[in-house]
Formats: sequence, C-alpha cells, structure tokens
Amino acid sequence: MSVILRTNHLTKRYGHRTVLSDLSMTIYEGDIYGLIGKNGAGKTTLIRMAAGLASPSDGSILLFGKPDLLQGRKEIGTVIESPALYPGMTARENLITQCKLQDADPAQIESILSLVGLGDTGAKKAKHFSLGMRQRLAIAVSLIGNPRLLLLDEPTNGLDPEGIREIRNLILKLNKERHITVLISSHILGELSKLATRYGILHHGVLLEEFTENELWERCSKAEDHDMDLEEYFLQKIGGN
Amino acid sequence: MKHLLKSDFYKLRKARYFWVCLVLNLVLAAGTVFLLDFTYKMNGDTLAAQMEEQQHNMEETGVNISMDGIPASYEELSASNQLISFFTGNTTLIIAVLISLFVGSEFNYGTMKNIASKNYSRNKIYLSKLIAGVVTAICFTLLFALTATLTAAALWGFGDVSSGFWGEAFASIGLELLLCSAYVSVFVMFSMLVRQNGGSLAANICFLEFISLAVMLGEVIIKKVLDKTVTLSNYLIDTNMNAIMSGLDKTIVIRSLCVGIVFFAAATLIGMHDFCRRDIR
Ligand SMILES: Nc1ncnc2c1ncn2[C@@H]1O[C@H](COP(=O)(O)OP(=O)(O)OP(=O)(O)O)[C@@H](O)[C@H]1O
Ligand SMILES: [Mg+2]
Repeated sequence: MSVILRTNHLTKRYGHRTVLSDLSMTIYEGDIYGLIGKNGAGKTTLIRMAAGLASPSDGSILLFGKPDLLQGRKEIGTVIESPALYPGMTARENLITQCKLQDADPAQIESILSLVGLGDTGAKKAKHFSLGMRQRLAIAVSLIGNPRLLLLDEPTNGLDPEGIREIRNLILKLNKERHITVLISSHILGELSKLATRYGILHHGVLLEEFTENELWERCSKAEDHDMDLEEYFLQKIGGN
Repeated sequence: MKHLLKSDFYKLRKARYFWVCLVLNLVLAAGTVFLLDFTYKMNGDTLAAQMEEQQHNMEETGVNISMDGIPASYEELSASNQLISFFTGNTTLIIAVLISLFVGSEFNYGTMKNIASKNYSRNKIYLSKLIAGVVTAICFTLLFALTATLTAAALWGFGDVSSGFWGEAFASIGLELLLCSAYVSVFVMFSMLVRQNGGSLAANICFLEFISLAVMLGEVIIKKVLDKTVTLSNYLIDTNMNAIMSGLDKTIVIRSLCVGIVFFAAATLIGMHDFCRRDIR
C-alpha cells in the first residue's frame, strides 16, 4: 500500500497555545480515514496544514511520499469548513472557474455535476442553493482535476439525515469507483462508522489512538456493556484525558 | 500563473459588480464632460477672475496647486486641451471599489482556500490579483478617456494641435497610467491585509480621501508653527497626477516616475510579504 499522506511530529502553536502537538499519522492509498474529535480538538487545523493554508510550527508533512507539497497539492481536493463557492455563479460556472484555475478539461464538468446530483440546476445561482446542495457543489469543485486525495472537513455539518446519507454514499462511491483516498473529519463517531475504514481520535491536539474498522467493532463488542454504542466508546476514550 | 490569471479574469467577467462599475465608469465619463460644459456656459465670463482669486487664497495658506492649463473661457474648451485631464484620477474611486470587492470577496466567500490549497505559491496568487487589477484599471481609464474625448469632441470639437502635442500627450498618459497602477497596488495591498470586502472598501476609500488631506494639514501646520514651507504632498500619487495635467517638465516627469514606482513596489512588497506569512482561514 502506498502512502498518500504522512505527518511527522506535526505541531501547531498559536502564540503560546499549542493546538496540535507532535502528531504523526499515515494515510494509505484507498483509505477512508475518519478523524474524530470534539469541538476545538484541532481537526480543522490539521486539515488546513495538509492543504497548505497554515504552516506548521514544527514537524513535517509528506504528500504522496514526497516533501514537495506544492507539486503534491495538484492532486488533492479540499472542502474545509463551510463550502467555499462563488454565490453569484451557477454550479456549472463555479466548476468552470476551478477548471480554469487548474487547467483541467471542462469536459468533466457534466459528469461531476451528475455524480453529485446537481446536473439539473441549470441557471440557478449558488446563493439560492440549499446547504446540502452547496456542500455537494463544494465537493464537486474539489473533484476537478481528478484528485487522488480528498480532504473533507465536516462535510455533513448542518445537514439533515437524508443529506448526510447522500454525502456518505457519494464519498463511498468516489472511494470505490474513482479510487480516491479520503480524509474526513467529524465530531460524531457514529456518523463516520458507516463510512471509514480507519479512524484516528484527536483530543486537545493529541492523536490519542488509531484503529481500523474491524478493531472498532471488536472493541465495542468486547466491552462489558455489550451494546455500548459508538459515542459512549468515543466519550470513554477522550474521558480518560 | 497563466491559469491563475485566466480564472481571475473569468471571475471578473462573471461578477455583476464588474459590469455595474463599467457602466458607471462610462456614464461618469460622459457626465464629467457635460458638467464641464455646463459650468463654463453658466459662468464662463467670471471664471478667469475666480480662478485667480482662488489661487491667491491657496498660496496664502501654504497650499500649492497650479492652475496652469485650465481654460479660462468656454471658447477655449476643446477635446484636445482636456485630453490629459480625462486620464487624471477620474477612475480611481471606481477602481478602489472594484478591487476591494474583487479581492475581498475571495476571502468573504472562502474561495481563497480553493486557490491556496492548489499548486500555486502565495506570491503567484498575489501577483495574479495585482496583474488582473492593473489590467482592469488601465482598461477602465482608457475607456473613460475614450468616452470623454468622444463626448468632448462632439460638444466642442477636437481643436487644433501643435506638432509636439501627441509626443507629450503619450508621455503624460503613460505617466498617468503608471500612477494609476500605483494606486491599484495600494488597493490590492489593503484588500489583502484586511481580507474582507467591506473592510477593505473602507480602508481603500479612507486612503484615497484622507491621505492628501492629512498631508496637506501637516504642511499647513508646519508652515504656521515653524514658518517653513515643505511640500510633502508633492510625493503623493494624486498630486503628481494633477501636476502632469498642467504640463510636463523634467522635474515632474522624474518625480512622478519615482513616486509611481516607489508606491507600486512598496505596496506590493508589503502586501505580498503579509500574504505569504499569514495563514488563510
Ligand atoms: N488562528 C487561530 N488563532 C488562535 N487560535 C486558533 C486559531 N485557529 C484555531 N485556533 C484554536 O485551535 C483550536 C483547534 O481549532 P480547530 O478549528 O482545529 O478545531 P476543530 O477540531 O476543527 O473544532 P470544530 O469541531 O469546532 O470545527 C481551537 O481551540 C481554536 O481556538
Ligand atoms: Mg473544525
């Protein structure tokens, strides 16, 4: 398995406050890596550093096994916090802008739009979209240029159960059909459990532990309380700190 | 870099404020000429005396603004003698608005994240915004001048020009466009520092409105207190724009070249340095 993203002792400080400390993690090709942590754990900070929006105070990042991040970023797509779109443009125009930026073939626009279920939005401007539509459009923008890695920061934030399911199915499809590796953050373990293949629990800027899908179910079933749910498991993990 | 510019121009083309500003620019161009026409028709005969008096008053307070080259009567008006004035600072305010919206929105919408997380260095992203801004500003200024000149020619005729006219006109226009680009560089800098369209609009308009006022006030105070005449305002962008309008000489050419280049370079360096250093939210 080839390494897609690796961080070595990554640290971020704002003034005297350390928001991410000594974080070393590896994401392999084909993973859907679920990053779980409560509000303020440092999830966004980690993703912003991987995307090049913030610079590490210490430590290093490798993209696709290489330290040349500028080159590596050609092959990543990002949705960080709220969906970043031009509200005065239609879905198609938003994608054209991104195609021009990345010198990507505009022929892919139609297939990406129908993939995210926005094929029929026509002349409707992004500012008139619902939140779910904007989230999906933001994912569509991140798919321009056939990225190998998607960094998704809480892409289901504020969505209803149906919207959450749509995004989940979309991510699964991208992972299965387009072989895109995904790093997705959330503060709800249960939300990622139907999706992720590997997990990392982030708490107060520290990566408490990493485990696979199978390990998660094993641990949950071994617990004394047999039907302990995932959130309790998560709370137990971070409660120890 | 080419692709950054392409997407920047595409965004401008798709933005409503761009077209609003463009139409406003053209309307203002024609409007300025009609206003001038109206002013001279109304009080053309008393204008010469008024100007002299104003000049005298200003000299007493220590402010130095030359009134050479301003026509003293309606008959003296022509498109050719107003040509340089059509390049002089008419579009600055509109460009300040345009650039504040263009650069600030990128932060307001969060779309700067989409750009900065791609394979472009921060310097290139900054330069692309600056170049797009300069090109737009020059086009706006040329369009303003073209519209105003055509309107003026229709109203007053183009007027007879001497053989040296076009040489000096092109030199003056070049200098005016350089100074205009210096303004663009300052506007882009403030917008990149403030990172918000409302805030950068305020910052840019304040810069435009208050800097000459502040400097002039400084001069007046120095004159009153120290009884010394210093002309700080000679080193402001708009003073040089106006100076060029009233005729080129060696001092003015060199001074406006220096002022244009220094403002342009200093603002770009400051803005770029900050943009490279700071995290993007
Ligand atoms: N620019 C900044 N200056 C100072 N502190 C910051 C800055 N950005 C983030 N922080 C702090 O870093 C910590 C981690 O923030 P981060 O946004 O990464 O958390 P998060 O895990 O994404 O939380 P949430 O679930 O609320 O999105 C927070 O305590 C936040 O206050
Ligand atoms: Mg966050």
